[in-house]
Amino acid sequence: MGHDNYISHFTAAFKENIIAMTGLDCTPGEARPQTRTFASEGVAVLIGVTGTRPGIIILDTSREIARRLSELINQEEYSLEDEFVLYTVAEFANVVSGHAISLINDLHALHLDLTPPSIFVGDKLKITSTKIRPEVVEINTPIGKMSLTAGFERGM
Amino acid sequence: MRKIKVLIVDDSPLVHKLIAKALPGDSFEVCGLAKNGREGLELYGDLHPDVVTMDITMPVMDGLTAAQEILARDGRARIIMLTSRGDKESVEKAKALGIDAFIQKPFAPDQLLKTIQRLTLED
Repeated sequence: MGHDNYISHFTAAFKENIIAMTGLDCTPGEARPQTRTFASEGVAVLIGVTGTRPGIIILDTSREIARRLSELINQEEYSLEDEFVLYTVAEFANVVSGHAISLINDLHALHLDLTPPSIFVGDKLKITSTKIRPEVVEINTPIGKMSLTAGFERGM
Repeated sequence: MRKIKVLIVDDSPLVHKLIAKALPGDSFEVCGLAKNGREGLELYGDLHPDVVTMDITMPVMDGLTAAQEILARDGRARIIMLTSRGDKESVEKAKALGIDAFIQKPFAPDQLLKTIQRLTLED
């Protein structure tokens, strides 16, 4: 798997699944190296990658965008505090990650697996990656901006 | 007519809700909700469902291990793998266990209904 294209599998999976789950299209920006420490917008879903190339995937957005995404996926109204908002964003991240990892496994004959998602919520969250230098793509959607960070060990 | 009993094994409360919403109450009964493979295995023994929907990536025990253990105890168990994964290796592992129902999330309610009906009509 080359450094040049793995992040594109994540953005493609994001686009495919946000359309399938909400009917909304989106516009991914250019991939760039993620800073070693970055501030969350308020809701961060972390999914670990295990197997032949361990790594990390982080879907990050604001609490308001998370709420609107959840309303569109479930066709129900939610308050910002509703725990189903968090469950929905976590499941969306899980679906995007599962599709991307499946494609990477098939294309590159790898054996990558995922951990269950962990959800972090807070106004001043900071995330630091010590061993992995991931890339990030900011994705513009009609309900606001989300970011997808992904990276693998050994300089991928 | 007896309702089809469905056990849902998935670590996401959202998926519990979406599957329950997809199954018409006049024909289906969600008889149990498990949030990992170990709980699913225990509930299978207690509840004897007609069909199990099984995620793969879960804490404590993953879905493929749980499916293998359920099938070792009950070779007639009907299990649908319902997962975000769709890679050849995952599908082949499920097939090797004797599971031929594999749905990749996000699922369409109609696709899930038809798959459950196919499995329950096979008897």
